Amino acid sequence: MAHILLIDDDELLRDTVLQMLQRLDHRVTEAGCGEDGLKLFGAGAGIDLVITDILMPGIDGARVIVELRRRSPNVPVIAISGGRRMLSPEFNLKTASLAGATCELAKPFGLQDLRSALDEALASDVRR
Amino acid sequence: MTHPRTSFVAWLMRWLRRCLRRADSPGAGSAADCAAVTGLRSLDQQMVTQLGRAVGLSEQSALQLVSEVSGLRVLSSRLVDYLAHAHKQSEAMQGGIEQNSLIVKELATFVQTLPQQIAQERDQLKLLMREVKSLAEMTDSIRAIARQTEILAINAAIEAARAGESGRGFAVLAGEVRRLATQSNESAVKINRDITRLVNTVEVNYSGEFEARTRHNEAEAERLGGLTRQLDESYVDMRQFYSMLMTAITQHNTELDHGIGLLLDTAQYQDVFKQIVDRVQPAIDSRNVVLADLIARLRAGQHDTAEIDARAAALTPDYLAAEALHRDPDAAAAVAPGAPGARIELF
Repeated sequence: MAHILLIDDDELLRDTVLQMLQRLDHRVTEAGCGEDGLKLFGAGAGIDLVITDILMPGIDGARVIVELRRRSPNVPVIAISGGRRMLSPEFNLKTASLAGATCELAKPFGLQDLRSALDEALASDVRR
Repeated sequence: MTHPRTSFVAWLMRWLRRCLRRADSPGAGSAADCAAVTGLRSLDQQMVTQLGRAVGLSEQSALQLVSEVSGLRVLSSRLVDYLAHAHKQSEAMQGGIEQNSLIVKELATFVQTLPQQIAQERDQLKLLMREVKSLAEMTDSIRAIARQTEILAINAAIEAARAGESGRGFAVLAGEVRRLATQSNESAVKINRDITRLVNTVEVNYSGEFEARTRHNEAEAERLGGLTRQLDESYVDMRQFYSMLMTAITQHNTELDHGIGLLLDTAQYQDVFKQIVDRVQPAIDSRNVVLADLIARLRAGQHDTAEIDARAAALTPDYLAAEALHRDPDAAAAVAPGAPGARIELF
């Protein structure tokens, strides 16, 4: 069981992912924005892995990843994104990869996709 | 391809080893027993050791360089791949921007037609006001008739008082009353006609058309409101695009900068290699001078080589003392900063 920090401004999606993670027996701490996510990460909560959305108001996911890398270079980070009117999920996830995400997952995703991404990220203790 | 400096070092090492083998060979004779030759051998051995260290450092740093350059290549490939995606994304955004400009045009058209519509409605309102004023004039006319009727009624009352004396006055008054009645009737007809026209004007201009236009404008405003929201989302997306692009590229460049820093650190070992080789040259020169003097003396049949022996014996300590003035970066790292010691071999 891992302690996972889940950052997403979409409450409905956050709730869905939370339920998936709980089904996979993980402990989850939630944050509704990048700022809160970074605060929780820095609060000494003993986070093993971070799942972050990319398109968020305020501090976006790419900046969250860069900051996480600065604070803790080895923490695995899974980037998730669904895109928007003018921004494709591919571009968002490529940005996340360059910013230092361990692996990426396009929204919407199922339990099996999430499980695979978690296995990949938790197996890798160093960034790509 | 072998680097010229590496091939020179290889040749130098082979030559030094050959010298050492010759000195060790059974046929070396009296020269091998000479203290000067022992001194020269010692120097040769030290130079072989130092050159071996230099070659080892060079090989190690070359492998390290290859590994670091490969890492930089992976980094730059990732950037190229990312920039290709960013380019595709910006092209897609270009389509969105063109669509946004159409939205802006529609908004501008809508906003431009509004003053025309307002002017048209103002003209229609003026027309309506004129009609209302004409009704007011009719009201004045009826008021005048009423006033005259009142006067007539008073006069009739007075004439009635005189009724017994003369009935002629009533006949005149009756005529006046008839005339006023006719005038009132005409006015009433005119008022009725004007009111009908006014009602029609209101119905035509302010009921049907106005209502239709208002409904259309409301629908347009709602539609354009939706488009304006799209426009706003587009600007948010564009801002986020550039923000993310900057974040990713800045992060990438930070990593690239770090990688180049490591590469430069490793590249400095090549200079260490050069410095070790360079320092061998004066030692060889000194060695050759001593050797030439020794050979000359032996050829001249002078077997007292004490002075040359002493010079030969000093060659190795001198060389090692010169070497001790230098230190490779790894060894230097172990010394506390500012502590007195050997010069660090860096660029």
